[in-house]
This record gives sequence, structure tokens and C-alpha cells, in this order.
Amino acid sequence: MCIGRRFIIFLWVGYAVLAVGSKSYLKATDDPAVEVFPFFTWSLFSKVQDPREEFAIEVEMLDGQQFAPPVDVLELAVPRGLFRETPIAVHKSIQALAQSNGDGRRLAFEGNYLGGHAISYRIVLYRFDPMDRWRTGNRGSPKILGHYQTKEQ
Amino acid sequence: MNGGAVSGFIARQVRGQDTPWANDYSAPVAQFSNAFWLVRVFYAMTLYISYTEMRVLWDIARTAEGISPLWPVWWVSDPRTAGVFLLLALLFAGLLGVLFTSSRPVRVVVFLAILEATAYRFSFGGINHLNHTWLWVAFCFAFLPSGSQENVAESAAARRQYLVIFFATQGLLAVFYTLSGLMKAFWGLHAVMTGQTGSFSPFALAVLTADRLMQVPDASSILGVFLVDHPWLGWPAHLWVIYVEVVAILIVFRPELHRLWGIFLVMFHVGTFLLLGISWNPQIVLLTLLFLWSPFAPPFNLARTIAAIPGIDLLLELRTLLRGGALARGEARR
Repeated sequence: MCIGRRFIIFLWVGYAVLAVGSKSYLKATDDPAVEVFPFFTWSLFSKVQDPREEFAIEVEMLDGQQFAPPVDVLELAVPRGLFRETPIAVHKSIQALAQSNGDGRRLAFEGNYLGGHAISYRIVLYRFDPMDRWRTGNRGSPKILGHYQTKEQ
Repeated sequence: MNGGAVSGFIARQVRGQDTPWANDYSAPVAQFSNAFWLVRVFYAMTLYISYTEMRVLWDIARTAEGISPLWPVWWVSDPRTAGVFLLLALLFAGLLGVLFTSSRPVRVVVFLAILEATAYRFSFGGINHLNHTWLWVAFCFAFLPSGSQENVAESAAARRQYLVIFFATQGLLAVFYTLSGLMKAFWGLHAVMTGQTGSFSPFALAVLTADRLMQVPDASSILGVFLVDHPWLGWPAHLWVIYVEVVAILIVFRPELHRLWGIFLVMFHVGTFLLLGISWNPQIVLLTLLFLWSPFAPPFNLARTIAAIPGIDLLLELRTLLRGGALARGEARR
């Protein structure tokens, strides 16, 4: 086999093995990391979750203003200028931090996205039928995973 | 079908005629010249993206407080200073890449700058993948041999090396799509076996679209609401996408399909923009450079193009086999 072919096979197969292998390893070891950067499996919209499980951060109090019921942080983000990243990036951050152990990711999230605001919030898990939620707006009842406050309190 | 026929069939799937994969490949000067200019355009695009990334990195750098560093930026302790340093480094590397495209050391520097800047950008929680293909193409192009166009063109070995790297880069991009398609197919089959909604379900695309639009409150989808209200319309489109993605790696070996699959993949990204509001600007340029303008694509021939499409080629092969069998039976009767 010529060197050209060897290089090509090494690159293609090597990438695929590292991407899928590292993802499987992270999953097997319950590691909260999504991937070993920059090896990505390109599993995008592969699972059609129905019902779907989704974590959310819900704000209970923002700079002294109480919210009852609590409001999803993504809905407050744009009007309140809470963070500049795209909402989907923040959504991914929330999914990652909700599944992580320890406070590291949560504190980083607070620092980067909620910094400068006094916020009481809760992390919750929703389980819903996406089409039903689309039609009725009903996300079901949240399972509350914890209550937190930013350090500006 | 016996073992020889199967191995012959597989060999035909990946014959890669007129590409660096073929044993008798001569690395024509015309293909090299095209590839050389496509690489230059890639570095022009890199400078453009570096410029647009400045704003993103600056926004992060001026507000960053905590960091969960990915491994390439393990050294970052002060995310604000590091952000400013990296945005300047990326811009400087982008300029170097345009000015000294022929230099391998410069291309290595460009790759490292993209790696560092991208790792920094996604060290604050979730990883977005919009820059991954740009990063990996820069990685592959770092292996291209050094030398001016004239110098490389003079040597058959250097031309071949250049085109092997270019071909490998096309293939790596195709591997990304094939992986994506296989993941959809795998989880789709899993859902079929467990009786759940999956990629092959009639409403799959509508469910995905509804879910996405609800995840991102300000998603700028143009046709998403229409699709969710008419969910059956998404079924053929979703099956077509899975097919186009899964076979992408085979297309690399069929240069007559490079342009067609380039169009298909661009259309796929247009679809994700219309339905899900996801725009992936650099990817459209990469697909243009690597597939729509592929240096290995022969002059267009409709019959050859159709005959090479995965699936249609199988039907043609089957027809040939059946015809051969009928002829043999006819001979035997005589």
C-alpha cells in the first residue's frame, strides 16, 4: 500500500475511532464532558427524544424582583441582557452543568452569564412530549434538582 | 454472490479513479494548479473568519470571570488577558496565512492559532461545533508540502503529495457527514426496535424542529412553524438527508459526484437554516472549495453522474448480472 493511502486511512479511521471511542469512554465513566475537543462524533439531531428530558435554570428572584412562578433564564436573557452568547450555547451550558458533579461548572456559569446580578434560581428537569408542548405550551411539572444563589446576594 | 464477486464489488465502490487513491494516479498539473488556488482561497477565508471571531472573542474576554478550560488552553489562568491575546494571535496568524500560504511552518502556526482560539471560545460551558470543520481543514492543510506553485508543480512526487493531502481533506469532511448520517441511522434503528419515535419516524423532523424552536426562544426559523403544522412533509426530506450523509464517504471515491454532493450538502444546510434557524456560513465555503470546485471532478456528463449515484449503481450492477445470467442460459440452450 502506498504512503498516500496509508496517510488517508490513518486520518479518516483515526478520527472516527477517536471521536466515537472518546465519546463512549466519557459516557461509560459518567464524565460530564461532552466530548474530547476537537473530536466530535457529529451526532447532531440523531435522537428524536419523545418524550424529551431537558434541564432548565429558572429564576426565582432577580435583583430584588420576585418571580412566581419562576421564569426560565433563557426567556429573561435577551430583555435583561444577562449574557451575550447565543441562546443555544447557553442552553447547552445549562444541560452540561446540570449533569456535572461538583460546583465548578455552576460557578463558572454564574460568573460568565449571571455575573453582576443578584439572582436566586433553581435547576429543574422537565420531561415532556415536544409536539404536545408545541401545541399547548405545556412542559409538565418540573422536578426540582436544587436551589442556588449567585454570590452578589 | 460468491466471495470474489463481493470483493470485486467493494473494490469498485472505492476505486477512486482519477484521484490520489488510484494506484495509477499521475497527479496531473491541472489538478494540482486547481488545488493550489483552492488552498489559497481557504486561507483568505481563514483571515475573514479570524476577523469575525475577533468580535466574539472580545465579547467573551471583556466579561469572562470563570473558565472551565478545554485541554488546549490549560495554561489560561486569567481568561480576560488570554482572550485578548488569542484574538490578536488569531488575526495575526490569519494575515500570515494569506501572505505565506506556501510555507508549511506558517500553516502549522495558523492551525495552532485556530485550535487555541476555538478551545478558548468553548471553555465556558457548552461546545458549539461551527468552527470544527474549519479547524480540521486547517489541520490537514498544515501537511501540504512547502514551496511555490512553480516549484511543487515541477515535481511529480510533490504534486502527488499535495493532492493526496487535498483528497484526504475532502474525505475527512465526508467522514464528518457519514458519521452524522450513521448516528441518525443507528438511533433511528434503535428507536424502531424499541417502538419509540426515531429518525425514520414520519414526524421525526417535525418533532426535532418543534423541539429546537422551543429550546431557542428567538430562533429565526423561516419554515419551521409551517413544517411542524404539516409534519408529514418532513419525512422524505429527513430520509433524503440521512441517505446523503451516510454515503458521503463513498462520494469521495467518485469524482463525477463531487459537485452533485456539494450541491446536496449545501441544500441540506439551507434546509437547516430554513427549518431550524441554524446558519453555518464557513461550511458553505468549505463545501464549495472541497466539493463544488473539486479539482478531481471530471467535465459534467449526465449519464455518468447518474450511473455513479450510490444505489443506482447497485441497480445497474444487478441488471448487468441478470442480463449476463440470461445470456449464459441462452448460450447453454443453444
